[in-house]
Amino acid sequence: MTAIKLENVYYAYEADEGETPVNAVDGVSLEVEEGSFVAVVGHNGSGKSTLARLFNGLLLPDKGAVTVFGIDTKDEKQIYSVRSSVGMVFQNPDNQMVASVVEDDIAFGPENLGLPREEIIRRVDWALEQVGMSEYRKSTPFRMSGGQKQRLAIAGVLAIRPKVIVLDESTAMLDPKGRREVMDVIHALNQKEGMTVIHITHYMEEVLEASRVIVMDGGKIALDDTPRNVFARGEELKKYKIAPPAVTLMADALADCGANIRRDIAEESELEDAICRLLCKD
Amino acid sequence: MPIVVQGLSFSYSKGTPFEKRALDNVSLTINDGEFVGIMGHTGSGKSTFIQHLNGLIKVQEGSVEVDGIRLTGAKRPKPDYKKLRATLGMVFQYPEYQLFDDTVIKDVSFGPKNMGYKKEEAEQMAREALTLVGLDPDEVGDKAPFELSGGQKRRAAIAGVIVMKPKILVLDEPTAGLDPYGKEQILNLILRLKAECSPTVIVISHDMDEITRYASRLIIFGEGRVAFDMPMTELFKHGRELEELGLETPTAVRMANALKERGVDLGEGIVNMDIFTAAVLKKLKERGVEVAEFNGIDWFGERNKKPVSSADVFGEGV
Repeated sequence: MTAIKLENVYYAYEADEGETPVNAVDGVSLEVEEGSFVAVVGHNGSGKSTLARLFNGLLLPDKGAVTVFGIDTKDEKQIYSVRSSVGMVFQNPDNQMVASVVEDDIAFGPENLGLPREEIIRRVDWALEQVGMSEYRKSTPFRMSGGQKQRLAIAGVLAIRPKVIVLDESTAMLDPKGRREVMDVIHALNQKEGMTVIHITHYMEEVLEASRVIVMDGGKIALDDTPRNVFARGEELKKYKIAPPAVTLMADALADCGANIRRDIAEESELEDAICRLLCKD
Repeated sequence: MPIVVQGLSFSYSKGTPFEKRALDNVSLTINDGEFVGIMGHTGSGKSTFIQHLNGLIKVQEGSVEVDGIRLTGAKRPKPDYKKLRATLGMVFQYPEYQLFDDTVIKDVSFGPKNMGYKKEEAEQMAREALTLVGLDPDEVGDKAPFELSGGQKRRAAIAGVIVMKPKILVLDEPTAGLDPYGKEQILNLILRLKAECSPTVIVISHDMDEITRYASRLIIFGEGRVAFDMPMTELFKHGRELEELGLETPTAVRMANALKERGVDLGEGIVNMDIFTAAVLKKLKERGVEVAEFNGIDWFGERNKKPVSSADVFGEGV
């Protein structure tokens, strides 16, 4: 089933007086299949965060249509349904906490949905378990690490029971350990719960873990393919100001200097094999 | 003159139930002209450490000396903070959040004005600083900081720090939140600043693949102590201990180790992807394969192109 569908969508932010508005999203059509894990990359200003905000009706298209499980995000009567189907996690962990005790923070969403107390408790339990933070139920978020805070932000979104989770550079402010924690949580959600994940990031190592990557440039979709196919398109990536992961950089540099090595290498073991073919004895 | 830190310990909320030891008996020396990378997980003490260097945190225990300026916890003699802050420039995380004035030129000249320079002098210094960070003072000078793009804002904020031409430049995660192209540009800018303005550079980073390409020395913090401070070739023999500290070894090191197990010994000294690539090419050449000259990985083709010896790019040993 199609989770999110964009049909020829345009969006421009209000421009200052005397200036013409520039389309931040400029004629984008795409479908995100339910249960998929999609990465979105692009340089700053390429339109990827605007795109994310169109996914759950935080922004409404100027032209074209966004549908979430068949519901148009412009349908005011159903906007709650859209918002509860598509949860968003943002960049700064400190800006996403609303309460001083973890369980109160997670309960904020379901409370606002007017759910009965028992159901709220069930959801808080479940959400904390999903992100591996059950033991912190009664703690305060303020002294936690960035990775822990982001996992709580994810739990807060999960408590609404969305079918799709959109992470807008949610790993950008974390250290490597915190990033790994968040990536492990979203993979588990994708695989065990069948949750659709849309992950916006600048870390190409994280892109490799997705099954599909969308490259944004100038408000348009520049590339839409598997990560390895995308990373093999060196010259185009340079144009879109994207750099591939370290392994691909090394393979590309070796190929540039005349070594017989493919440029579309994305995994360490592949580069290892390729070098070994040239240098291992026998 | 070097930075000399001896027996430095520090606790937050000292004397309260929330007391938390952030630094525990840290001793180290950073010499003039070094490019030092500081790494460690969140809460390892690295930020507390660098905040000591420009006197943002007062010394509780131990001693800190920066370019001959003595910082101690004692009331007298009071450290010369004015001189210290002109000597050591500090660029915080997300420095663009600290732009505050209504035009870029006013913002950048705030430092020198505060140090007693006349308005014209201060603005001239600001123009030079903006040029040095790659912004055109005529173009951006009269703009409001919020009119600049993300990368431009970060440059402007850095200009506000280097405007005093500090001998030592300290940057806390200068590439955080930037896209790959923005990262590369800021790193190239840091190299340029090191060459033209601030010979000693200290950078906090979380990115092993990145920092090993730029720094000549890594200091790893863990649990408030200096966990590792040794040549990188030695350091990366401690892969498992690094992992316990929440850090990875660089991709190039992992690759070189894996190849060694398969009988391809690329030799000592592989600490980053440039050296790795050079070492593989050298091996190929030994096998009679014709390979082109390699000048370091340069994906966007914008690294400062100047003739460099291989030792400059790759360190000694390759």
